[in-house]
Amino acid sequence: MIPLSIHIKQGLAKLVLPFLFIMACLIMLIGQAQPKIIENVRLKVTDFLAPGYALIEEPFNLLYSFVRSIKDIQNISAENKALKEENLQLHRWYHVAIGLADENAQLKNQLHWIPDPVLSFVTARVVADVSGVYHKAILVVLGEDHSVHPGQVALDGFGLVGRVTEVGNRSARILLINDDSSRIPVSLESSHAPAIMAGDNTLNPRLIFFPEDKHPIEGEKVVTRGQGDVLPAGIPIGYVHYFKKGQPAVVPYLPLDHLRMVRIFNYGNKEVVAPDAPGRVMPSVKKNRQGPVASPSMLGRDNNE
Amino acid sequence: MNKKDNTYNFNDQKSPGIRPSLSKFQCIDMAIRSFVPMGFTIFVVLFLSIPFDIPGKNELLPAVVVASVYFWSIYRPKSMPAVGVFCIGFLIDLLNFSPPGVVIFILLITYGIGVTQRFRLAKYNFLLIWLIFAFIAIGMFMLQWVLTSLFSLKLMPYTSFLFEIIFAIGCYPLLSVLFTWAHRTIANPAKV
Repeated sequence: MIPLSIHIKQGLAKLVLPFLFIMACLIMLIGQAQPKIIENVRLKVTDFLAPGYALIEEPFNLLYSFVRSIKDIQNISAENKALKEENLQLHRWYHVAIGLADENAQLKNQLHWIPDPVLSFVTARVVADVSGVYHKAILVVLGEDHSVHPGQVALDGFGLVGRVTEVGNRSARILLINDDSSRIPVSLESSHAPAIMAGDNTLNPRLIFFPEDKHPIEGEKVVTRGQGDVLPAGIPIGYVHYFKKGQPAVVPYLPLDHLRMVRIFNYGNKEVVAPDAPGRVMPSVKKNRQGPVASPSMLGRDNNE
Repeated sequence: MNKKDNTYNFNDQKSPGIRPSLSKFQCIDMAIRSFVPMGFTIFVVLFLSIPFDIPGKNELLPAVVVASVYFWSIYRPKSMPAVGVFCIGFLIDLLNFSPPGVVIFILLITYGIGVTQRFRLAKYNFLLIWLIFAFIAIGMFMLQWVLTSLFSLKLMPYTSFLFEIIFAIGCYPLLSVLFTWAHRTIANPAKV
């Protein structure tokens, strides 16, 4: 070490805090100017910490399950009775469902229905709640060779919870639907009205931009609308509930702060592109030709050149 | 010479005199003791990120960290160095996916106030220190709200920052009791 006089040492010690302030300002600037750099560092840190979270969590999980099992033992007979009754009802529904499924299959057969493609998904454990004060997001842990990409859709057991925004080697971040920046086009099942579901950092996102003559009905189902090629249509989200008069909100089927497992679906590129129709008016790709191309032969020539 | 005097002289590096060099075990012990404040704060940051059913934990995290930085910057800044505060802030920023640098900034300001005014503050009684902390917390979380709104280019909901302030003011006395105890016992390097 370089021998320094006491005065210089004291002077240097006084400079540490201002230096760190400048560093903090620099980080703020870098975060605005080059968000990619910070994003990479974040993913490295979360990748590194993802197994560590599980380590801290495990003892508490044991404690939780122990307490839960004691509570279960306390009301075991009442629960047994309720479950038996529910089971009887479910049996009835089971037969109804089988009948309906058969009927559905028959009808589809008669119509020569083209089946929907089977979706692939992975299930991942939520290891950390990475929500800040002003953001809502979760972190899931994935294996080393995962196939999760940004933009894929995350569902819990019942409905939509969010979308994958950043993916690291072992972990991925999912921006929840109640984040302040989340805006999702939805459609209301009973009133058939379109609306936008806007997150506001509370547990229940608000509904905005619904038609003035069709106000959302209390309790009706909310599903995604599939506009803008962002989300596929028809994913259930929750139901409408009015917490305040005139301000409809969406209540997700499972509360968004109790997520433990999520399924990440790969919908692939489901963008529906209309095929080229003969005689369809299209703008030219060539710059030197002005005006639209209106004949199929010319279109073909354009592509060959 | 009784034991207490002995330990006192032993680590009082400022007093002149010859003292026996520390054994390896004592060095490790001292290092761990001086790491307790930092270690506690980092543990809180990691612990409150786990998805448990702790109500308002997103707001509780900055409240506890600011209280911890404030307390230790007054009573033992050597165990909570400026670089350490910077690292804790950076860790929170990286884990939270909010605009980076904001938490570092507010923690450093809190630390700066604590360290520069520590000799004056330490003389006051607890209520006054708490009151000053309340003002600092209000100022800091308002600053956080302003900076986050500025960087996100929209007004953030103000309920979160009200919660943060309430949590910070509410948890300071409890943390203060815990920290004062730690300050005298497990976090005291002079007790080796």
